Amino acid sequence: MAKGIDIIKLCNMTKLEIPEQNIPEISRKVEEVLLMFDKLDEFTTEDSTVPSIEDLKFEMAFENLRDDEPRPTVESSEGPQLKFKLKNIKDGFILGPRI
Amino acid sequence: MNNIKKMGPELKIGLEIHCQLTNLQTKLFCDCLSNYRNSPPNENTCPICLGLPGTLPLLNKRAVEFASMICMAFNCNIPEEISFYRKNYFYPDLPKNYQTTQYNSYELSSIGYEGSIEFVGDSKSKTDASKDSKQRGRIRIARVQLEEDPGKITYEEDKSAANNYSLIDYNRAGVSLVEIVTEPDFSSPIAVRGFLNEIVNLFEYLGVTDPSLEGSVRCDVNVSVGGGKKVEIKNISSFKEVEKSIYYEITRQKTLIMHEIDVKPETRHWDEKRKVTIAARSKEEEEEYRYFPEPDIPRIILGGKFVSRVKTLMPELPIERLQRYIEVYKITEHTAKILVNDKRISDFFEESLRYHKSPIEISNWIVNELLTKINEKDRQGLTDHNTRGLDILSVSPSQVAEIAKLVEVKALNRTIAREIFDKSIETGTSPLKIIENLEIEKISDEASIIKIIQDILISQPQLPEQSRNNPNVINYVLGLIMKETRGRVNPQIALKLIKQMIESN
Amino acid sequence: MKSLYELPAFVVSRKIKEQEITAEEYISIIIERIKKVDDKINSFISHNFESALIRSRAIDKKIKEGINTGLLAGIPVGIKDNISVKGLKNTCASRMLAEYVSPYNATVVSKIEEQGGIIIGKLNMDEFGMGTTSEYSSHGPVRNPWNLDYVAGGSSGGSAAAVASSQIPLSLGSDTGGSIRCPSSFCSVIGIKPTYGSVSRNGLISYSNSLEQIGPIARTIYDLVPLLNTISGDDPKDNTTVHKKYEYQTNNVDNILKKKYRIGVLNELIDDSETEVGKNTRKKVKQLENYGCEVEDTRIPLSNYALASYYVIATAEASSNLSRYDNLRYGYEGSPEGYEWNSYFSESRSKFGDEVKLRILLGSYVLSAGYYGKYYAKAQKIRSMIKREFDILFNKYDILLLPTMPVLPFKLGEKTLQPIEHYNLDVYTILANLAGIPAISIPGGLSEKGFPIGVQLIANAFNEQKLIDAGVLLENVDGFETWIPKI
Ligand SMILES: [Zn+2]
Repeated sequence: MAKGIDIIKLCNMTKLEIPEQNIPEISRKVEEVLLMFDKLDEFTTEDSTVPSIEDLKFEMAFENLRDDEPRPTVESSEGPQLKFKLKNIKDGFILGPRI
Repeated sequence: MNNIKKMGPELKIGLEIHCQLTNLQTKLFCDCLSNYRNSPPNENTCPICLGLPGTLPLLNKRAVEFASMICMAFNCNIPEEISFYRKNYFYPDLPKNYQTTQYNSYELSSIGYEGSIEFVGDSKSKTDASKDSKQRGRIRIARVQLEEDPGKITYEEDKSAANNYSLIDYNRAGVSLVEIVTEPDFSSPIAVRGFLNEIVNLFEYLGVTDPSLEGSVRCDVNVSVGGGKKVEIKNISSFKEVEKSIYYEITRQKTLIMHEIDVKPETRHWDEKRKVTIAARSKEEEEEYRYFPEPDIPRIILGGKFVSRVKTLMPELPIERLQRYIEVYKITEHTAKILVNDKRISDFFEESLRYHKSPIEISNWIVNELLTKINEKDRQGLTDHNTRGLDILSVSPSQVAEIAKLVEVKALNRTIAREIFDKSIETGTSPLKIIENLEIEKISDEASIIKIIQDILISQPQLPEQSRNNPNVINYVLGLIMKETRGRVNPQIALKLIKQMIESN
Repeated sequence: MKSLYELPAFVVSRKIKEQEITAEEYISIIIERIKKVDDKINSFISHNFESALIRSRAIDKKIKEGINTGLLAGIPVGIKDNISVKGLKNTCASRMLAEYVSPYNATVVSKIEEQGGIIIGKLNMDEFGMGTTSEYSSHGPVRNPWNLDYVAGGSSGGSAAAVASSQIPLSLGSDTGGSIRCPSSFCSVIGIKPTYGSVSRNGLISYSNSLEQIGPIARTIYDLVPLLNTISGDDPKDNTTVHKKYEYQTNNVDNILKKKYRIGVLNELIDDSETEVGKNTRKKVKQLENYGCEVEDTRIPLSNYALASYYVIATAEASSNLSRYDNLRYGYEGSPEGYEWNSYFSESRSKFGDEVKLRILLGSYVLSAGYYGKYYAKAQKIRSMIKREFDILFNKYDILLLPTMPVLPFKLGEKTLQPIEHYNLDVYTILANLAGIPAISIPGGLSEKGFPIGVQLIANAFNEQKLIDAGVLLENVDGFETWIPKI
């Protein structure tokens, strides 16, 4: 199925701008890798005990989740909290593009 | 109810309700404050909720607890394990350009699923008592999920075209949201409105959110007419607008059908100023959310005992309280509903009972006097929709209890009591204090009182005779005197004189 | 007499603690060495020399006052540029993050500083860790200290090359599909990818969260272990970490031999390698056999599905992880004023390099509507099956042995054109990432033309100690810590 993917649509979806002259090359590369991904289609198993996706997912007990406590205002041992300098600030707001 | 008939049975409305868990201390995945409303822009943020490179989400335990309380109130199943997914889409209000949420298409991941809720119906309108039973229905809940709120985008100029840039504030980004998705079980906009009022009340009972905060409870709608395609409406600012947007959308879809134009499955935005819905994006675009399991949050094992533990945290729900008022307090269903349908009023009632345990009398004072007063104020436009009526009247539960007690021990008749109560709630002065002050200008000279009693006995000569069998006659006469004098007679003196005169008659 | 920069860190640290030399002297010598050598290698993206000197003086003061200074007292550690160090630029070798300064420390960085370690600078890499040669860097390629026309391996090329060229004794890399082990093999240093969950990822800029771990790189196993001990353990800031039950030890050879390790040799994979790589790997098998280890040929039947499975998962996660780079909140110079948001995002994100763009496109494609089952779910299924195969193997063997890389280091620019050829370099290293188990690359020898060949050992989850033990055995038979490129 690797042939004929809509690279422009994919670029719009991922908000990536690719110069027109590079489109053929990137399309070729995407298709080449997708062809390699098709190797997965060869994998079939009748084994009903095949584990599901969840097998590898880490687990955590509810009890160990973070308690709902605000962070202390006193400075930590790491020294004063470095105030993060956000880009393009106006009156505390971050400048954004037009919507 | 005419509306339902007019629209035909095939009108299907479903809701997506977003409830901010404002009663949490911290955000869903970091320890910034959940209460973002008082901070200067972008001050209530940290590397995690700004999505800085390398930060990882740290799930708030209490958020899971609150969400499961909501699930229980909606009679949802709660699985033994939950997990989180990423919903990928770009937008400037999303610090990571994906939203961490839950998603049930690939596995059962959400905190609640397959619930249903008995929908009691609105009792606030006394004009149509019959509609209660008709409107009562069961709404099925598809799922309840826990997710994060995005930031906020604003403009300097009102018209967005006039702006060269937007202003972004991420203080709200990462605040816990619970999304409740109903099945399309509503068949009228009015039913939706009633339901929303009820569940806002429910959230308040649960203590998970403060609905009076702007934007704390929001609602998206989906509407389909005549078995047609589903259209979603987003961007609706208030419940009043929810109702309006549904009416608009029904008309729009019906018009399309009438002209044999297909209704497209799409998302539309509610334009509050123009009162129309506007096409926002097609379903096809929406399906590209590229959901996949959030690798940074492990599967959370709630365990078998979780549900029973959360049960112990559950406060009394409105439906349980209603039952108790009817069965234990013997209050009429109508009155009980009015009390229960507003948690603050119901709590006010409970508090009043602590001063004087007479549920029926007190409930009547609250429902017939206090709420009438509040409704008047409402009509005068003295309350805006975010502050509740009780706040604008300086009335305390003890005042209500006092007045009820005075009436019950017959120290006051109802008419005077009402007047005193009115004064009391306007000024915040206790009824007893008002009576004491009234005392000064009271008619206490026995001659004038005797004159009034004589007049009464002349016009109703049967009274002395009746009083031999019925002790209430004395109170009746006292009532007449009070009416005549607009309550300015000292009741103790009057009572003494009435007894003397009837006996000597 | 050897210069201080050539000595193992544990030796120097002892000298510092015994006040034979000062930390300040040592750090000054290290700075000189970096200034002299790194122009040729390009292993550093940014330096932290001034703060490092200040810190070294603080450590000297502590030592004079008899205050405990920790496992890494006075030792400079280089940090891969995708691991956050407070106050330093954190570019991930990407133009997208050219101006990004981290406001916080990664947990591993805090832990290193707690143990008296000194952050000396940020190391070059493939952009966001996506590459196997350290050529895809906005800072230019890293060069192999053994031959400057050759690749250093990647993506932690700077971390391996800086250690191999004796600029610094220790560094941190990150390993998503071999990014620590590959450059360790190509540069002849020792590098370990720990068990998934044993080292905090807080502060590591994610490429593929479910696959990657931070790990140490050193010239000798005796330096590697203290750094591994320093950084490992659970972290409340990373919910995927697990509690560490014991500290790792460098046991003496006799005690290790008593453990009678059983070694499974992945024969087919050795055969599939370049001739010299295969030959050298068999020599390693022989050495371990000579030590008295039980040796047996074995295989992982599903390994031929590993590459597709790995790249589906890695690109899928990457496409989402890299979404946040839109140049609104942080990034590089530039303002969104006047832009419509879609065009601002697209234009901003054009600063990603071509390989990163390719992987974002691939990852978005495999996650898009209708393909989840075909790609992502299938890949995860195979992943769990591979994990199962490892479980079965570890019932029989303590350690699995295979080459780290199927090839010898190659020339710069040789394998960047064809993605599949590039990705195929990862076939032996991705297995451990898919299964979440620890794997180490140990210097195995030099080819006829003098290029390093690494040998890879894999153990079951949380069995790093076995890999360390094997490292001690191989280091003692070979003395590989003395194989130093002339630079
Ligand atoms: Zn935060």
